[in-house]
Amino acid sequence: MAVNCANLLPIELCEKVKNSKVFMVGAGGIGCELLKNLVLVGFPYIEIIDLDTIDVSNLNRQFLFRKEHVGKSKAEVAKESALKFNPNTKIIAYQDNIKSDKYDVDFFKKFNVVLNALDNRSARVHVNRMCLAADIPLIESGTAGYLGQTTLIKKNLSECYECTPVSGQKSYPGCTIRNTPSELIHCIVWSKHLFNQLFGEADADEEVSPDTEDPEAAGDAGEAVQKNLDFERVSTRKWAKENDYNNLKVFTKLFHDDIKYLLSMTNLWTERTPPKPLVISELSDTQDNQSNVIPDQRIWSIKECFDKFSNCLKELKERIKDDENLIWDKDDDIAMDFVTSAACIRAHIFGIQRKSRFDIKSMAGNIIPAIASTNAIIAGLVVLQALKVVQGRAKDCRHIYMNLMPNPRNKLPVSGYLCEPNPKCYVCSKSSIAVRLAPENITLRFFQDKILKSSLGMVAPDVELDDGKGTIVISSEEGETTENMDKTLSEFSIKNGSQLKCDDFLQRYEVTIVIAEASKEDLPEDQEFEVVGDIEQLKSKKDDVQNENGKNGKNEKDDTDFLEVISDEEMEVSEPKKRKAEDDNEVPSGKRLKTDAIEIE
Amino acid sequence: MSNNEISKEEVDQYDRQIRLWGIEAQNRLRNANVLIIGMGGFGAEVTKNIVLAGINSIVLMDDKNVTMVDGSCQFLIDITKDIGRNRAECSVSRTKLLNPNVKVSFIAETIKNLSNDYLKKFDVICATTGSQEDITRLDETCRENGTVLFFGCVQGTFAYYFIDAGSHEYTKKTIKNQETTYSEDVQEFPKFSDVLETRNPSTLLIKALDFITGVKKPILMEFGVACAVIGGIVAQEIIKAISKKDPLYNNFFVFDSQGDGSGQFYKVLKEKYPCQKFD
Ligand SMILES: [Zn+2]
Repeated sequence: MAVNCANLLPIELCEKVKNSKVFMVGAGGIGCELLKNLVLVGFPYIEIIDLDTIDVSNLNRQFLFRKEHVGKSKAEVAKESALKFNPNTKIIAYQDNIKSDKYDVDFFKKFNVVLNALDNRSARVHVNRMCLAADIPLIESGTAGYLGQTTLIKKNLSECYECTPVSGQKSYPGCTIRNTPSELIHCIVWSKHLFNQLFGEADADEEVSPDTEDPEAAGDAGEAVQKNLDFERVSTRKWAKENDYNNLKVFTKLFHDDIKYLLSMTNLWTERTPPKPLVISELSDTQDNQSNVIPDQRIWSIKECFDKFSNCLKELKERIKDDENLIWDKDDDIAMDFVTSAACIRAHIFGIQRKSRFDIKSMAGNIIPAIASTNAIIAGLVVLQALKVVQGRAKDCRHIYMNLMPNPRNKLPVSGYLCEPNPKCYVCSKSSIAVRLAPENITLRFFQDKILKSSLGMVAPDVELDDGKGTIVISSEEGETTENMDKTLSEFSIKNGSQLKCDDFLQRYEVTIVIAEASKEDLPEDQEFEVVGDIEQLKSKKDDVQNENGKNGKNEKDDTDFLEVISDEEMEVSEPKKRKAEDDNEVPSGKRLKTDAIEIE
Repeated sequence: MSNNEISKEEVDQYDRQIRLWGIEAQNRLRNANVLIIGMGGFGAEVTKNIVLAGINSIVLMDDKNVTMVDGSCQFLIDITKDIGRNRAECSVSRTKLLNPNVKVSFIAETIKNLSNDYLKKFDVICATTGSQEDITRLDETCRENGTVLFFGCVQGTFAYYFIDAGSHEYTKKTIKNQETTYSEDVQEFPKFSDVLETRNPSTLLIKALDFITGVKKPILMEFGVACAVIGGIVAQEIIKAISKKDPLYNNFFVFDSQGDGSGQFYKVLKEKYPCQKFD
């Protein structure tokens, strides 16, 4: 019964569409539009996967979902809604994690094309590798507000997702967060750390007390250090518990005593405005005149912040009665109130402009704005690319952008030729990676979790030494190398120049990591390792460091991949740290367009 | 400005877009009334996008009945049940489901029969069908009423639209040395009848004009993907026109879905000024 593409597209293309199988990863903003387009064009067989459930904030654009669907599986509801447009389509929906080993290379191989409609880098990296390993064309896409883009990733034809390495994640030096915040975001990060210290899993990297090792304060805090040592020994949570989360005590400790202590580190304040410790009885209740805003956009007075803060302490204390660890979530009203009030109080102390709960939510939750129209346009363009792939014209695919304004030739969307694979890519070109670290400080557990998994996107790595015996130091088999995990790299004689063969069986991905020894001072502030890319980059980096004495020596590319920066939705809460770079809502850089497309006329 | 306050529920529902265009633009949307003429695939895409955005009301208008070809692009009708029924009427229930805050109604009418008084109610009219005479008259009325008119078509895989916003006042945002300033500005749009007199050398534009003037015979099918792309662009322009933020694209757009994926804007002026590029 379906007319679909028959009367509009060449017959041979229609035949190919009729015999195609498509895999869609993600059923969010782009995903809903994409599924509708595929079904209407007449793609007969679609599998779709999404782990997420529907949230009310999806409803302004994810039009296959309605209020009564909130809390249900996105993949399932999308399937049911899209089937109404064309009941003849075969759709299989999975509410599952794409990284599960159920979706192995053989699974990917059954499709003609894979369409990504994802919202996070880590899944994009994984699907990139799976498609390269299965040699299946992948159409990537992403949007952020009015901006969007789509491109084709195909082995040996075009750039893969990881061909352009991303520059290091945006993180803030610990001493800025703990001692000398100068922007509201520093206070927000501090407040999220405070939440974890008080109610969540304590992380040594998330200390909120004054940092006595601040190099700027060197030799300055002698007397005060002694005084504070007693406190340092007790965890923040334990201390708060012993004091029954008493709001007066917690407030006084954080916003008076600790600030006083910071003031004693006088070197810090020679060129900065010193912070002002707060006394509860003197809190101001004055509010700026704020008209024409929704309640959430009103900036709280300091008195109001204290009241909210007190209330949150009370509520959150109740929740951790059974010694539970809370996980901060921007959509949890109390958790959000806590961060807003604490961040505003701290901002006030340091003379930083406060913002509303609405704005702080954007910053704390890395929320990326999203609208239906951009998603509709990009999803339409994705299907045009998919049709070319199915027709065997993959090389006619383009890198297509939606921008705020047409380009100088009045084009919008704008398309450009695909870029060739980067011959030095450590994913699609078998290039090796250099990692700078101090082998005596890095345990195998850290190497596995922070370097191989978090930074290099592996799921279940195996690592083999170049010791002539092929010793396996990390195994993806449960329990095989557990006893190694707390040992340092040095204990396995891993040193400068050592080569580690790292292998992820699920991703069919293998890479050689070359160790480059670096002391703590050589590494970027607050970081224990640095992925440099290939060996040549490492050399040029060393030269840079020598020439410029470390200043601006970061061999970073400034044309960051837009697909990296944007995403359809806010980041998942589970991986907040490594995603910080993604909240930069940048306009896509035109630099990536190597050539403007030829005009059709 | 708004005479009724935006509710907490609406703020939650529209959160991701309020963070983009702000509460003032959202309030303007909440008070805007739009007429969609022609409920094919293009009309359905525009309708979906602006209803999701949260306008006050939308009227769906069509005098045609659902046929098989609608199944390839019109997702607001039920192709298994609605064949032979009025396209606008059949689109109402799914449109309502997109966003319960928006008032949705339909009329089964032709453009000729619409009175000036009726047309006055709308802030924006988007016609996705209509003869040259119909649109010329509609454009004159819209200019008198201060209504923004979009007129476009999807002819097979080929799509185009024209916009006449008369004298459009909007708030211009300028970013200089990281400082954002706002100023009031006015854009002047040529009328529809002037645009038809252009002597533009672009083959794409000539193709579009040939469809409008009837030199080329209309194609009875709309390619769903072409509808999605141009429907997204027109919806975004409608939202800009209503919120009076940022300049509109003045005044003609062509998208060929058999091309390289790019779209082409033109500033089409009267005969004596051949097509100008706008910068
Ligand atoms: Zn690559």
